[in-house]
Amino acid sequence: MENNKNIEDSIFDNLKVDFKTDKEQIWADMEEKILLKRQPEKFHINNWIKYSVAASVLLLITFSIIYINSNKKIICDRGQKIEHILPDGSKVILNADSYIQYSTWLWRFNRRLDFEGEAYFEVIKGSKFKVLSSKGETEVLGTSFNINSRNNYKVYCNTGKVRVIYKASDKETIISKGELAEFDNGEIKKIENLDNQNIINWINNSFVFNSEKLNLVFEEIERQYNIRIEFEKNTLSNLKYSGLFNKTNNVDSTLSLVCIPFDFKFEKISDNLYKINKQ
Amino acid sequence: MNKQEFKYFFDKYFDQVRRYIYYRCGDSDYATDITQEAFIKLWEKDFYFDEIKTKRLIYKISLEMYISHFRKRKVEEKNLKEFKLSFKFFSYIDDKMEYYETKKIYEKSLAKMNEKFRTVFLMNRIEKLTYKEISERIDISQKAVEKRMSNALKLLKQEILTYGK
Repeated sequence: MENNKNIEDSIFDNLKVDFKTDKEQIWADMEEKILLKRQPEKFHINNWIKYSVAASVLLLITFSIIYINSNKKIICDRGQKIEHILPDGSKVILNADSYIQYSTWLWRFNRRLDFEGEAYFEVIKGSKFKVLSSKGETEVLGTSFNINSRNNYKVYCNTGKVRVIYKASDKETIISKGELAEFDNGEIKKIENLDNQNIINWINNSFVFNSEKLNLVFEEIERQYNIRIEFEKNTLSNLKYSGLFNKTNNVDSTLSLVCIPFDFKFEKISDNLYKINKQ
Repeated sequence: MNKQEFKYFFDKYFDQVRRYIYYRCGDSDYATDITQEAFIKLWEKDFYFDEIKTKRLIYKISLEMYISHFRKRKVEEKNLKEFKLSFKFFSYIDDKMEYYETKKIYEKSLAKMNEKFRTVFLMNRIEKLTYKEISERIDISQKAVEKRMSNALKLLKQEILTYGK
C-alpha cells in the first residue's frame, strides 16, 4: 500500500493532458466564426444610435418651437408710447422708437430682456432682472429706473439700487435713488441729486431739457411727433437748450417754443417734413 | 465584451476549461469541440466583461453544453472502457512495468468512477489544484470538493485492492 502511494504520486507527477489541436489553431478557426456571428449585434447598436439621434433632434426641434413661439417683441413706433406688463407683473413704459424683446417661456427661470431706445421700468421684487442693450447692461432686483440707450447709455435710478455695466470698456457702477449714470467717451459719469421730474417726465408727455444739445432736442421732437426736420448746414453748431415741451400741444407750437429763443424760423414743407432756417 | 477582452479571456481560460471537460468525459476531441462551442456561445451572448463573473460563466456554459450533448449520445458511447492517461517522459522511470501496471489499473478505475468524483480527483492530482481553487473554478463549496475527493479515494482504494488480488 505504501509502495502504491509512491507509485501513484510519481504517475500523477509525470502525466500530461494531451489534445490534438492546440489553442492557437482553435483560435484561428474561431476568429472567422465569431466575426460573422456578431454582425447583427453591431447593426443593432447602430440602430440604437440612430434612434437616440432621432429622439434628440426631435427634442431639439420641440424646444426651439417652444422658444420661438414664446419669443415676444414689443415695438413702439415713432410718435407712440406703449405701456407693457411683463409676465411677472413688472411694468415697462416704452418711449417712441424703442423696443423690448423677451421669451415668455424662459421668463419664469430668467428675467432678462433685450432693449433699445428709451424706457421706464418698474420691476417687481424677485430674482435678478436684466436689461441688455448693445451699449450696456442694467441689472436690478426690484426697483424703478429709466434707461436711454440712444446716444450715451444713460440709466437713471428712480427707487432702490441699480447696477450698470458698460459693454465697451467692461466697467460697472452701482447707482442708488436719484442718481444718473452716463457713459461718455469710455468714462462713467455719475450725477447725483437729480430732480427726477426732469428725466422721467416723458411718461406724462412732458419733455424737460437741461442745457441739452440742440440737435438732440430736435431729434426728440422728430421722434415724438413722427416728423422729419431739416436744417441748413452748421445751424445748430454747439447750441444748447434748456426748457420743456408738452406732447399734447401740436407740432407747430412745440417747434416755435424751441425756435424763438434762438431766433429760428420754421416752415412746413409737407405733413411730415419741416425746415428750420436762421433768421 | 469586445474582441480584445475575448481574446485575452480565451488565451487565459480555454485550456483549463477544456481539461475540465476532458476529466468529465474522457474524450479529448469531444472536450475540444464542447469547449470551443461554449466560447462561441459566450461571445454571441455578448455579456458585460468581468473576469471573475465571466470565468464562472464559461465553466457553467461548458458544463451545460456537455450535459445536453451527453444526453443525446448513444448508450455504448456513454460508457468509458478506460480513462486514458499519458506520461510526459519515460526515461527516468526505473521500473516501467510496475508503473504501467498501476497506470492501467488507474485508467480502468477512473473510467468506472462517477465523473464528478473523477473530475475533482484529476484536477487535484494532475493540475495540483487545492480544494479551494477547485471550488472556485467549478463553483461548488469546498465541503463538496472534499466529499467528492474522499469518495474518489475510497473507490480507488477498493479497485486497487481487488486488482491486487
